[in-house]
Amino acid sequence: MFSRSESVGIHSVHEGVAKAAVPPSQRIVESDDRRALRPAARSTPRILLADDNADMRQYVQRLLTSGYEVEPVGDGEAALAAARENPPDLVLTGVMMPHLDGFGLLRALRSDPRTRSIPVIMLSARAGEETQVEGLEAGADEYLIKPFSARELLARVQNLVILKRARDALQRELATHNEDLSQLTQELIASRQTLQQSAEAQGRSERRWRAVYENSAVGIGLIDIDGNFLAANPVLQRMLGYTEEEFQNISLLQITPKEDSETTRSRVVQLLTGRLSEYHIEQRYLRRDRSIVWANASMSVIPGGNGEEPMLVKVIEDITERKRVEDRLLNAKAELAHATRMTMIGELAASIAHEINQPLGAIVNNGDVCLRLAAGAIGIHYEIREALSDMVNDANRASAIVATVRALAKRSTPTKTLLHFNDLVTDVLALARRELAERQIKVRNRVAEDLPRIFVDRVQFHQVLLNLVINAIDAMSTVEEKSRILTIWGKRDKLKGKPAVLVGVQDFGKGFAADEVDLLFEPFYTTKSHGMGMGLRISRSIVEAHCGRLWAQPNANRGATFLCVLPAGAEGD
Amino acid sequence: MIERDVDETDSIVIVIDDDLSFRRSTERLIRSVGYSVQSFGTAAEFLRSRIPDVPACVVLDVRLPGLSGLDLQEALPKVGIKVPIIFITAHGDIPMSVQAMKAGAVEFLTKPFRSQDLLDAIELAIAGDRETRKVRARLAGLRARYQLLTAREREVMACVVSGLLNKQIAGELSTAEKTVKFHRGHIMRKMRARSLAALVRMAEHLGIER
Repeated sequence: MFSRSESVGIHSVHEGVAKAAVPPSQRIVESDDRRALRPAARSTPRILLADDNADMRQYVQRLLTSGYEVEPVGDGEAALAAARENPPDLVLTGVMMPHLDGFGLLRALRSDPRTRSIPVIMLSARAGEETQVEGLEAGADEYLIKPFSARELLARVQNLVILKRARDALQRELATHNEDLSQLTQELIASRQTLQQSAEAQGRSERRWRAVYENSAVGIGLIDIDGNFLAANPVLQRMLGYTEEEFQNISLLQITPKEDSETTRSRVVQLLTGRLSEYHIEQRYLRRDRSIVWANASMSVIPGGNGEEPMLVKVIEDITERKRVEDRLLNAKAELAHATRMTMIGELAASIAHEINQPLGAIVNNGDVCLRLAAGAIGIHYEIREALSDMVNDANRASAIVATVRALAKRSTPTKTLLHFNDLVTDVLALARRELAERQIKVRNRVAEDLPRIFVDRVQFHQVLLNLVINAIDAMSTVEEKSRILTIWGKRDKLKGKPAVLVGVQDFGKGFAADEVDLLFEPFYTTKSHGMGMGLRISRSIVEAHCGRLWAQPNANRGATFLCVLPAGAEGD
Repeated sequence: MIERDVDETDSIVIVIDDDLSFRRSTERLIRSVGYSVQSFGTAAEFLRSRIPDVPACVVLDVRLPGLSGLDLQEALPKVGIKVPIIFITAHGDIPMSVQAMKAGAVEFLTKPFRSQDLLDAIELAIAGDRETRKVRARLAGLRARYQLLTAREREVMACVVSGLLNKQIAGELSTAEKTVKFHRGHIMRKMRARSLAALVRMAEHLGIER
């Protein structure tokens, strides 16, 4: 569902771009400093990737390869040459590189009119805030610190490329009918500011301008150098709740929450002084009713000329809904984390109780044996009997203490509801989405549609299923990418002669040895460096508390399948 | 289980627990009151072993590596072993104990338990098993004697225990009354029945109906 809302954004922008596309008969201006605008005909955005680490190049290339054409190079000089030769839509660069480092590359790109407006994302292992500031000041659009998540990188790349394309399209549109872009810009500015142009000229620029900004799915605003709105397209009007007229009297700072106003001010200064050609940020804006709208926003400069002031173009994409969904997911994760902690403590207490009661039981037995033998024997000091008796009593006391602790940490009684197993799968795949994407794991959902419902505690089964999914992901971390397939299946079955649901979580990972099968579910047994060895143990406890069974078996070819059978319907107390 | 002379006083307690130290202490405890004990670390070891055919009971840990205690409880009748079971666990799991008791366990004790509780349970279980064995032995003897009857004698016996008079039986089987009397004498002797009432009880045990 999340990916859908994200892709709606992309499609809409592309539609906007498509509507603004240039008829082939019309001539495209190719003055020197507009060469960077040329990649109009290409459908796949091009990304230039500069990093001296081959693994890094491979990883990033793999991440981006589905949506982008990636050109990897090993150092800054090669990157600069490639960018000058054929300006890409985006440059991704490391910081430390031989010949020309990331900062050098950035400065070179920014100083060349042909490459000045290419968005640049720096990837760095240097985490210091200073470095980040240095990067941003040098004019990087984004600065990502390794290790970064695949999702984060993809989001940043996507946003920057969309914004660049939207801006390119806008500028192309402006350039289409006039050989001199600055003249058109002037015309446009003049038409909005002074209304002194001839009706014809005004109409012409208006039409073109509106073609872009009225049909776009993103909010577009024109802002003067003092931060006052000159115009806002219908989307932006709706988004922020002001009419077109009202926008004439609104400044950028009025729609910016106080906390962000200083950043915004300094960004505007950087834009106007030419230190940045554009910037992109995920930010909040204030609606007219003072409510908050989350947005992906970018701002870029339309240079002035012939004595005219430059203007700022602001592009704002509403991501409030996506944020809300993300927040919901975050809540679900928090709830799950809490439940996991609680069950972990409960299970830990139970395991410890079990382990301690074994030796305590032996002590009591042995003490009793001695007492029995002593009872019949002659010449045994009475204190020996007393000491034995105290030993037995104290062992019993220790066991009672353990029982009390265990009772305190006892799992709360599950809240069971009738659920479709498929809904659990959907929930858990959403929860694990990030891990699945990062590890490049394909998911196959083979759950039968007509399964009877199961009567279970939703959060507890999130725990069980998520645990199995994460185990599968971990098991496949070392296998080659094409085999990283996670299959979740579910079918009808019988348990003790009654209808049941049998589900399996299957991976093609490293699997386990035959003699490991019993150990897997033992407390504190783990094969992971970061594991505690309680996951499967807890999962089995939960499943058994629902009158089901959880077990593991190796696959015929490779990997493992974890199986769980649960009674169907409302039974299962 | 191998055949052996049944000695009324002979009995054995089987302890199955994977914790060596606990197992040893339990063995010691049980032995201290005079029972003989055989112990095992897993259910599989027990199933592979040869146990004397005497009154017995199993002191069984719930959690075992491989086949669990509850699994073993379920499996034993299927391999023809009927023996009373006393469960012991360090876990104190209530649903588990309910399941075990439903499946016919004699007792469910939580470690550490009072040794008297275990010894009482063992006494009860062995007495129970001895009783069951007697009944089983009696029935086996009865079956063996019934096997000695000829097909005709069995027919006559079925008629006799259903309350028919000799004359009626003769009519029923199309034979002479004298022949029926003859068969009847044989039946009483072979079945070692002292009276008609005794024969009727035997027929009930054997499940004979007309």
